[in-house]
Amino acid sequence: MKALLSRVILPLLCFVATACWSQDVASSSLLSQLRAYSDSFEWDPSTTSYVLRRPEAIEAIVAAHYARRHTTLDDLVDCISDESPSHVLLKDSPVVLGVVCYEGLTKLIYFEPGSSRWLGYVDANANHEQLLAAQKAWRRVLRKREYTNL
Amino acid sequence: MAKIPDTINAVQVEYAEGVVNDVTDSLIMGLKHCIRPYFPLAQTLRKIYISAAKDHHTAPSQVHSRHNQRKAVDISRLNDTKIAIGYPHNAALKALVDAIQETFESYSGRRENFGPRLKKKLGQNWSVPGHHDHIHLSVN
Repeated sequence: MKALLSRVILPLLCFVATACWSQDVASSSLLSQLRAYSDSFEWDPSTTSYVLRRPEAIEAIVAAHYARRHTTLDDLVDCISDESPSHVLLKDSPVVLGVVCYEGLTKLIYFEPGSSRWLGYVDANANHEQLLAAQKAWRRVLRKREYTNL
Repeated sequence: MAKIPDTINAVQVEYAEGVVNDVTDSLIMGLKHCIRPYFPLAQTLRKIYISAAKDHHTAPSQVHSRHNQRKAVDISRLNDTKIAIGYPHNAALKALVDAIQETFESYSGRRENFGPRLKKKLGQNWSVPGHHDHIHLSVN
């Protein structure tokens, strides 16, 4: 019994604990990087929308995580409802972290809805209800693996 | 039914993992119409990246997608740069996206032409969300 405990059960428990800890660390590292990410939205008349000034910078952050961990997408979608202030500005005011996470997510994947009623799109000034609706829409897309990698 | 060739008018075609390259002849003709190096522009088009063809559109809301009829493709990168990253700030990439979309409008078999530059269906302006990160081209 002692041999079984020391040779199988304990190493297995250590492996599981380490894996879980690694996931948590990686997830918090991604969110820490996005929290510290500094940028601003500017109006783009060609697409009539607000776009990030340095999209390549946020893509570099999320792509590095996505290359190592598929759960990066889940982490980003989980974060869409986070309404804490970020370091990304829209008209001199910080947008919520959820908007930053959405921007990161949509530098990795996209979804082509068959209906214009799909609620997964997030504007830079999205409100609480819009963020929650978008999070729900993306969770479904991820669960069903209906997204396409960019 | 046919396969999109690996090269169109000297432009290399790369496919995302999982792309089912099985489309109609009319779509291939449409791609041959609008995919070309575009030499007069600041940057030559060397490569396109097809992120979806007859695949990736299995959601219930997508049953009527032209993708499922082998009549649509999505292009998400030009010259290895994601449209989601390069449009509109990268002037050279923007010029190529604009050129592809505008040229496709002169293809007689065109149907949907959705992307960051314009959103048209059968030659008419069309209201459709998204498509700031890729070009969706479909045929009748």
